[in-house]
Amino acid sequence: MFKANRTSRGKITGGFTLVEIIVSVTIFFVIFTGIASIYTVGIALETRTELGTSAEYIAQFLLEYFMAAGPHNILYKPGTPDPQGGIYKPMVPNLPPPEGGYKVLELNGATYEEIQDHIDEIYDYAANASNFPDNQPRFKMGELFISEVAPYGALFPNIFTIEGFDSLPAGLAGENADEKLLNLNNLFPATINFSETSDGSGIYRVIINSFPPFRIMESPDLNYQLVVTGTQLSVNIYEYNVTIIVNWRIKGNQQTYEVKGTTTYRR
Amino acid sequence: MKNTSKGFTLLEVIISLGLILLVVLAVATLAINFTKYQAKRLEKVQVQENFRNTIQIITNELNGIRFTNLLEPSVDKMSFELFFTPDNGTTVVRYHIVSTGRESQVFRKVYSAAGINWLNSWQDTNRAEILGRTPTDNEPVSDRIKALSYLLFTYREGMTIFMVGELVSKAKVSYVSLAYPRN
Repeated sequence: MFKANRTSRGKITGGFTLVEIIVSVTIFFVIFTGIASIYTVGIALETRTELGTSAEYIAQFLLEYFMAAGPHNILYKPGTPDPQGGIYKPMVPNLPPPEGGYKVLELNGATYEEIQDHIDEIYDYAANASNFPDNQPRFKMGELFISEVAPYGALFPNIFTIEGFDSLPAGLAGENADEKLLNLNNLFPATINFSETSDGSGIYRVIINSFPPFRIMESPDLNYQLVVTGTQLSVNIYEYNVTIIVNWRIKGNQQTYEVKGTTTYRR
Repeated sequence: MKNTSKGFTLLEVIISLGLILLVVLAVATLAINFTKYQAKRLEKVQVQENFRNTIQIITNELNGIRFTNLLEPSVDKMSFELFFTPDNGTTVVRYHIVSTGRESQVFRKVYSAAGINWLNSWQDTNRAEILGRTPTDNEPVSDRIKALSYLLFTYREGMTIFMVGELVSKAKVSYVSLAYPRN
């Protein structure tokens, strides 16, 4: 292989041939490219996995939200007067409704019977086409309702805000409210933050900025679609199937997740 | 006499071995770092899954109770423990977390509410009385989680359940879910 000329004592008097140099450089280049490729593929896989998992969590959270709120709460646009004269307000200010809005029941002081009556009224109202400008019911038992796709280019930050707590949880360390608030925030990752709504008001809020398990550093292009069907199981038991389809795209990576849930309601 | 035998000099061998050693070291370092990263990530994912499963159990039970049967947190409050009476005052169910060192475990405990005067305030009187009793049922609802963990319940326009934990590596893990007691 080597063509270096040597003296009897082994001293090198020549150099490598061109072929040897080319072969060596090629081998080095192949090894370097191989290692770099492993790195690149590994990082790309990790990113894709983290984004995919986050999209899945978002889908799961939306499903829980809409299932928990109940199909009867996703039928109205925010600001629409409700049958009892109140105004529907969104619990998730930065999350656009897929079609119509949703209402979270104000339960302060309401009895169980009053809540049931209220929900019943909402169902009846939603099924009555004449209540809506386009003369279309917003929900009807036995029919499939598919929302329009709700695009939202910048879901983060402040995806979810709950405001109006009149105290911090008991058992927090700290001598005053500020210290307790600091200690509460120290328990949580930076993506979940507790704060006072205004100085000295004593009213607190929590803002959930991102979804576990990974912190998303880029603004995702996310849209979702909601599919709801209802079935009457017996005289007063209804079953609802809620499907959330989340489409998530960031830097060329695209993921679609579909999660389904079933919930029952007794009238 | 002319030396016609072919071979490597000591310098060539040393340089070659040095280069090979460098490549092996680089690959080994890469492999070790990747393994460490994967181990941390796996630990995080395992804790996350534990949180998710635990909260799912709590959410499922909460979805089956009435709003009026929630004892703690009450409306517009937050608490580290959850209390409710699933059967209109016969028993009280408590979900709370027990931490030992850096390990945590969530328990579901059931207490008899016999003799409890429900006209008394929960926070001022009944809570202490219930906690003074031996639970009739005491079961873990999570594995032993390798993170110093906390549960937080907030009740306003529905209940939000937070579970957060700090791993040995100081990384924080969280899971959030919603529950609307409704039927």
